[in-house]
Parts: sequence; structure tokens; C-alpha cells
Amino acid sequence: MPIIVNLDVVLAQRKMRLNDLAEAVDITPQNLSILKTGKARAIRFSTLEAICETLDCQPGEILEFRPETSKRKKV
Amino acid sequence: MNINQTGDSIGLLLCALFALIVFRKMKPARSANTNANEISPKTNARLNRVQKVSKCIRLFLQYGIPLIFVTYGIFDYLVILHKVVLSEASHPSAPDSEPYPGAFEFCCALNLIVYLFWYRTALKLFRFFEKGVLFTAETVRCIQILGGIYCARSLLDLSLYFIIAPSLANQWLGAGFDDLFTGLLIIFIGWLIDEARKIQEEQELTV
Repeated sequence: MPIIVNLDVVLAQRKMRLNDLAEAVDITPQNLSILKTGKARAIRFSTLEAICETLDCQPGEILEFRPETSKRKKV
Repeated sequence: MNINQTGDSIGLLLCALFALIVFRKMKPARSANTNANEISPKTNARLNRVQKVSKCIRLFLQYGIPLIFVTYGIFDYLVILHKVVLSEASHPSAPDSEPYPGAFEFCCALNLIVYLFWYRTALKLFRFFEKGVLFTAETVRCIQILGGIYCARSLLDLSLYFIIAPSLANQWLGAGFDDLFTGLLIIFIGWLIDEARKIQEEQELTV
């Protein structure tokens, strides 16, 4: 998937555990684990807002776009 | 009451007795390890009902159908033996006038192979349902295979009609066409379930 989730990187930088973030953001650790491992298909803005507020970061620090090499760039 | 009717009655009685025993002894099924796509049976009474009914059907497929086959087989054998003895006594047997000797046995063997494949797939599907695995890629595959088997059986019947009795091929338009339509419908329903499963997965994986 082209969208990479760098949540584990930001958590390590903030020295926070996944369970603590889940409790702070009010979503289950299982759901957060789905996001962290890159299995998530979509994320709600409300969830992204809560994560950024808790970790004091920008969405761009958590989400990264890496285009697939097989697809051509559209001009 | 002739021997055929006796066989039918005994077969039906066996089925009813079997169903009664199974329903009385049925316990709630225990689920296997659940994954993100499965629903926990402890919190879902509907799933418990699905599991109970699936267990009943699976037990009937696993034990009831072979029992019925054996019962009918024995009675058919007795009927044929009875008829052969009577016909030999009253009329000497005429020379065999089959255009394709062994064709009937070949058709029976092919039908048996198709039926065994159907039986194995149906048993596998109801085992999944009994474990609480409802809408997954494996169950969809089983459903689509069952649909494919109906289509294959229908086309097999048509080709056999053309080979063995071309003048009777138009009879395929009756029962054979129904099987083909049923098979295609089952395949379509399988595809629909798969699409619904993917939609559900998308929603489950939305954080």
C-alpha cells in the first residue's frame, strides 16, 4: 500500500507505549495495532486528530506516501 | 405396499429418527480461534443458532446420507434381484441391444464422482459454519465450488444425452437447465457474499 504509517517511530520518539496511546485516544489497542502494522484501510479524521493531539505531532509525521514503483507518474 | 414404497418409508423413518437424535444431543458448538473477521459466539446468540443448525446439517451429511445410500442400495439390490428372478422365470432374457455397451455404468460412475466432490465440499462448508466461520474467503470458495458442481453436472448430463440418446437431448431443457441456472445462481450469491465480506473488512479496518 502506498500510504505508510510511521506510528511506531513517533511512539518511540515520544517514549510512549501503544496501550497508553490507545487509552489516551479512546480507541482499542487492537484497532491501534491495526493502524501501526499497516493493515488499516482507512483512518477517520477524528482518530487522526486525537492521535496528533496526544503525540503533539503533525499528520505528515505519522503518514507517509511512498508511490509504488510499477505505477507511472501522471503528468 | 410394494418393496419400493417400503424402502422409501424406511429411509424416511431413518432420517426422522436420526434428526431427532441429533437435535436432542446437540450441544452448542465451540468455536475455533477467532480472527478479526469472526464474531465472538459468546456475545452473539444468532451465531449460536447458526452453529447449531450447521452442526445438525453437517452430522446429517456425514452420517445420514451414507446411511440412506446404504439403505436404498440394499433395497434397490433386493428389488432388482426380485425383478430379475421373476423376468427370468417368465421370459428368457433378450440379447443386449444397447448401442454403447457399458455407457450406463460409465454415466453412473461419472455422476458418482461429481456427487462425491459435492459431498466433500458441502461437508467442508458446514464444518466452517459450525465453527462460526461464516463469511470468509474459504466459505465463499466452497459455495462457488458447489455452484460450479451444479453447472458441471448439468453440462455433463447434456453431453451424455447427446452421446447416448441424441433423440432425448431436448429433455435436458427440463431438469438439466434448472441445474445450470441453480449453479449459476449459487456462484453469483458466492460472489455477492465475497463482495459484502470485503466491504465489511474495509469497515472493520477503518480506524
